[in-house]
Amino acid sequence: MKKEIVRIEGLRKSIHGSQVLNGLNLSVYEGEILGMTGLSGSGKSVVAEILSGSRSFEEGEICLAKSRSGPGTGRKRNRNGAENGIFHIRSAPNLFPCLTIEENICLMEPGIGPGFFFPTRMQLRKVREAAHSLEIGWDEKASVSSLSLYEKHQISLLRAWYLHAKLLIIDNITNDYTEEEFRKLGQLLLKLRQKKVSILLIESMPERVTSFTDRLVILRNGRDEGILFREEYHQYDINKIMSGDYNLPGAVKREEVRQEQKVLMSVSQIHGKGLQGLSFYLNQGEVVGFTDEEDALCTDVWRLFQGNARIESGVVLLDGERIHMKIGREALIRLGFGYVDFYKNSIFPQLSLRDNLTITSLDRLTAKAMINTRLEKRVVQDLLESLHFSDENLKKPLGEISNREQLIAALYKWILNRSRVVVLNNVLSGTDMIMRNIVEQFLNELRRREMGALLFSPNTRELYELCDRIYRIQKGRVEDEIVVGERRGS
Amino acid sequence: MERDWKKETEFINRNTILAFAGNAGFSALYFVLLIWIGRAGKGIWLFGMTGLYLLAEAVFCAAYLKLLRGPLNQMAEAVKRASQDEYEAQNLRSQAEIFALQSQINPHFLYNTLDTIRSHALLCDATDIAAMTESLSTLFRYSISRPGEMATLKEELDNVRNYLLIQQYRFPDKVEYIVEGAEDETILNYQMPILTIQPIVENAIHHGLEMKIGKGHIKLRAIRTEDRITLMISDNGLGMSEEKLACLRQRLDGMQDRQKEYAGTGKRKRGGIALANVDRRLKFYYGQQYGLKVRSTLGVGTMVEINLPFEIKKGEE
Repeated sequence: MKKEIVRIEGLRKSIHGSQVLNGLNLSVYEGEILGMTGLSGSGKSVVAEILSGSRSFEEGEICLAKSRSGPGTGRKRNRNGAENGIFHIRSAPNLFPCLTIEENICLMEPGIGPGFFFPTRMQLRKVREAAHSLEIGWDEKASVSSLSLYEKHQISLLRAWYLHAKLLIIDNITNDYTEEEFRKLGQLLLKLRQKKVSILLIESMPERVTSFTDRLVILRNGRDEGILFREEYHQYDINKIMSGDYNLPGAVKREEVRQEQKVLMSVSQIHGKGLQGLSFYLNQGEVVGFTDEEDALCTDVWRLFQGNARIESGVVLLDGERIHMKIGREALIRLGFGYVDFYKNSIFPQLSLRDNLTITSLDRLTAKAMINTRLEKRVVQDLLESLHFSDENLKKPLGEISNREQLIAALYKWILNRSRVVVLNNVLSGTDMIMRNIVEQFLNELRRREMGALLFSPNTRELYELCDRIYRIQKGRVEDEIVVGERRGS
Repeated sequence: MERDWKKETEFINRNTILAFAGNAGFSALYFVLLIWIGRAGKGIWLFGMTGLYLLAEAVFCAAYLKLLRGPLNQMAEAVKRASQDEYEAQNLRSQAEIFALQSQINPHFLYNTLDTIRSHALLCDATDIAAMTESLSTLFRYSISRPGEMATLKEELDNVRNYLLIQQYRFPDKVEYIVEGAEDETILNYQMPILTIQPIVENAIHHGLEMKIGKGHIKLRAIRTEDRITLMISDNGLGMSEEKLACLRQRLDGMQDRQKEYAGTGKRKRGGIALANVDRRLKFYYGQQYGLKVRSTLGVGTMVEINLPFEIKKGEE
């Protein structure tokens, strides 16, 4: 007999007038890892927020082991998620950097009043026991701010376990993980499952959610449209259930780089903090990635292109002209660089799609201190037409419309800006298969326009999928150069 | 629903008693004051007191009616729903009677004839025909001779096997049938309305697997929790388009005009009748929170989830 930890029936929720959840049903059993995936906007995170009590719902019923919220209609909230043993682990860890790791773990313990010692010896002993049972260790002197993202998530999971979690909702936290960190997370979740903790693992990348889940719920248009058991996991079926009647988006064919392309940017003998003679080049119409076994995000190289690295010597040429890399990001944008980080952080959610697209190119659209709105409209319309994208949401605040439009705004504003080199940092983070195609189409557009792109990602496979060439960095210098086409051929 | 009704009635009773007691006390006080004023000879006060009394009564009545409006409305709604359900139940019963009259062939005659065919087939060494006839006979015995009865899950599963045996001869090596999670005695002995599973399996073959190129499968998974049994019947057939699925869900949710459908005046849409019928029967037996849920994707397959209540008896686990 299985024990049901949570049962959701007919859950409905609308946000900004659009139906986000449309009669969702879901059961989570004790000691199982239940995966949840779906296209962007299918309602995955809203389910997590409703279960943890941070969002209300309009219709439906949530039955927990102890209590029940609903049924009927009207605004309802599943209060006291944590009291019922439901913990929501988000991508941005909910930890206080000014406190120690142990203090962070004990802080949320109910019934703690003002006392002379915090945490008490008893609490410290319990924290260490909990950490030992999950085989988690940390440096006692380390502060929270010095931990990596994975380690912070590990501490959040430990805190939930320490506070007697029954259901852990892990909401898209692995976007910035390396493969190794993801594997470690899997091992930790399997240990928690052994201790009869139920886990709801929400992921937008289906290939990740299938790795160690027992069952998979696939959402489409705010409803559970598929439940697959482990032996039924087939990538085609998962993708098809996610997209429904629509045809599966085909793979975007990569534009071939012409052999006789000119060098767009060259970097030679850069010495500085973490860089020891870094040299490489970027051709026109080329996408180049960086990988480092010790630091998956190649932080030092990335920092160099942010314009805030400490450089001692070396030369960077862009279109044959020498540029100073210490001048800051804003000045680099003026010189022809463009930047895309996680797409949600690369937009202005209060501004419209049109304003977001043209914000970087206002200099060109301004005549006599006045913005030429007719030209602005025309430019945006032409762009959206070339992308076969509808312009119905052009005037709405970008934060209220779909994630796909947000991604388009984050990427294509640099094309309108006519940037020469676009620096993309973990751009596939939080994207679904359709959004991935948008990124690939954008890279093809860069190739066609003979622009260049530098790609940073903790996921090496993504680099091989998107780049034309990859530089392998070791100890601050290029150790090896991999031409992706040749590698595929071999 | 019955519990809600009880709660509303208790609420109305309690408040009515309180209101009448309060009102009686207030009136008594008024009359005592009236007598006192009469004795004191202050006639002008009589007008003021009476006006005050009438105003207080009016405020009291308005408040009382406002208090009871919600529960009374809910009660009226419950009565309306109950009478509608009763009407539907009556329609279902009369429909069943019509079907019973239509199949007035003596079932024993049918079984005897099938047995005779089976014997002849065995004499002619036609073992396939014998097996098919036996399955058909068992299938008829199960579905015709026990209308409206309850059956155990084991009997239901055996009935599905008999049905699939016949289908096996129609479409050799077309359908693989897999049962998971139904090894537990408690689950196998669980009582449910007869012919709950077979119509769903029949639907899976007819709409999903018959037209599919190559071999398909039907999987039945049973999951038992503390308070319910969930049976998941999934196939990897053709699946349904989103539009068709929405139509079927509307039918299951009772969005379409059921009464017309029962009375036979509405046009019957093809497809989904069997599922809607099973769902309706389960909802009648167990309540609105149980019944069927359907998930389907074109080109992937369909999953029908049957939700049934389960009570752990004393002494059991």
